Amino acid sequence: MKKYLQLQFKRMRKTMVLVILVAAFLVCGIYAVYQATVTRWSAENSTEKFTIAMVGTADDALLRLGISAAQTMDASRFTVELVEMEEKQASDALYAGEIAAYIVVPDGFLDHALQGELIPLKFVSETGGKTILTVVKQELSAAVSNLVLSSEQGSFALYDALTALGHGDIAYQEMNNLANLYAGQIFNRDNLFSVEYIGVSEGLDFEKALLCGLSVLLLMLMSIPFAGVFVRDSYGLERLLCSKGVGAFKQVLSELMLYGLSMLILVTAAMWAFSKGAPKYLLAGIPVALCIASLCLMIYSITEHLVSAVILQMLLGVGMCFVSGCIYPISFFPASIQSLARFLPTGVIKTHFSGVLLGRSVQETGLLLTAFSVFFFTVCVGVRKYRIVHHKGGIL
Amino acid sequence: MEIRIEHLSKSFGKKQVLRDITFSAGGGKCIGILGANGCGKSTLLSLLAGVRRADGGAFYFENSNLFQDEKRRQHLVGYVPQGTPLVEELSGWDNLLLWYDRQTLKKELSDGVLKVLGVDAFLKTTVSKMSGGMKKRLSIGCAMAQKPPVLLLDEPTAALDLNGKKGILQYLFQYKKSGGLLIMTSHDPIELEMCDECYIMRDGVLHPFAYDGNIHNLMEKI
Repeated sequence: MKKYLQLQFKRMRKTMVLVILVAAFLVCGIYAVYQATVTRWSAENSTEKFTIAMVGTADDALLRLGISAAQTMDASRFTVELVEMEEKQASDALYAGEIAAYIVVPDGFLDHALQGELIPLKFVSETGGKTILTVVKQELSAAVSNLVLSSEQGSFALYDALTALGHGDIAYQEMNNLANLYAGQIFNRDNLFSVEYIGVSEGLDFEKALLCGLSVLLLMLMSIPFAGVFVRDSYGLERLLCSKGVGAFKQVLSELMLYGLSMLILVTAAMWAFSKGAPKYLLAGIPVALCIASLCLMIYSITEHLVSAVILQMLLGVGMCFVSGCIYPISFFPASIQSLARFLPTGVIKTHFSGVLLGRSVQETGLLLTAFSVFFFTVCVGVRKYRIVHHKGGIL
Repeated sequence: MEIRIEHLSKSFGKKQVLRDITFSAGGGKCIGILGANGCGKSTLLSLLAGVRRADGGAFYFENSNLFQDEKRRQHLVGYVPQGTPLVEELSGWDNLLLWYDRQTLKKELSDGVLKVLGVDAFLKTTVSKMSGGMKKRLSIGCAMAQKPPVLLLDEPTAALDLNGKKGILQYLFQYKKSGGLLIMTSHDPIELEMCDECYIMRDGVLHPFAYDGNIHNLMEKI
């Protein structure tokens, strides 16, 4: 088996130049698509008004008045459009890309605010980028500055009023108390709202979701040159190996080890090219490399001709990537397809990459990918056994 | 040296491909097995080579049953399957390294089996650029790695031109002369001429047949 492994290494080495050329070509092409899409998306978003939904304001006349005033008089009306919605409706609209974010105003917010207690607003966005969050922060900073000015005016007005009413002895103390109360709230303005990102795809913003999706597509396609190594029209070598004790299991295992290793190099290189984070992806890339390598080996096993194998790999790769939301946002697909995508290898790989990018645990997806690999490997071994015995040119 | 095949049988589902195959042969002989396509010739060789398992029967070398001693069988039996057992994109040298260690390979190329086969002449050539005869000689070279006393050949000169056949048969004659036992399947009268014993396989049963060089008699029997 060791010698067969060495032989596979030589075959890989011979093919690697072609693989690298194809990979470089694909990386350039897909990177160009990525850049073009992101640039267009950024341009569209920088010229459009952000639509933000306000949740929890419907029952409060004062808040509605405030929103109406902001939309007609405030400078923010040129960049932000505020609409009122229920939370479920706002969440659906956010997933569908109809709004950029929504703000949840908690019950009794205004009553508490009037008593000087600040309950944080919840800000829910699909993007972790600088766009919508920056706008909201700027707006709130401006509001806080106004608040500082007004509160100072209010403190001095209280002092004047108490002095004029003959309460000069307590005026200074009361002014200080009021100023402290304002200061306590204003200096605590980091707590004005909490931010929550739900993402367009598994918690990722548009750019990262696109990065993950295109990486999966890239990996599915750039291993195509390996078809020339693994598609066979004769099983003479496999028969001879079998007669010398290297059976189908050992043969496929040797091939998978080398193919998996080559894929791991490609996975890491691809991720490095996109995000300059190769070491981070090396470990997480192992189940991905194994899954793609075993899937491709299975394709090469069940096809007998190089052209059929390449066409099948392309169709299967692009098809599964499309359904899994690697090319097109998955939120636009019907719920049934979204459910299906979760169980496709490409969908799991995308979720795995998303987990790595977000720093989440990827154990679950890693295990699922390993299970896929075992399944594909088993099919490969079964097909190899069948071919060794029954392939044309042969036995019967 | 003697081999005995006793009561060998093999079925695929309900179809019995080999029935009670029994024969024996000694060193320095060539056994030819003939028969129509799909009659079970290659199945017989694949059972003896260990590519698949027999349903019943035994394969004795001297007095040990090779079906029960895989390691010994791997060492004693060489096998040249019908398809080329070579990696097309690699050179002859790289292909041979799968079966030989470096030192043995150099030795065999200078004065051993591979020298006799003339493999050294196209050692650096990529297999995909070799002729059919070269590929077959290289294939036999691979099968001879452990110098097995029994060599199984599945239609060794099929699809070769006369020159190619000549090179292969010359080597096989030499192998036989040195005490090796050849068991080959064939449709080719030229190959049959070097066989000491011939069998025709019909309905999964081996029937002894004396080939007298008359091709019409042979065709009637098949």
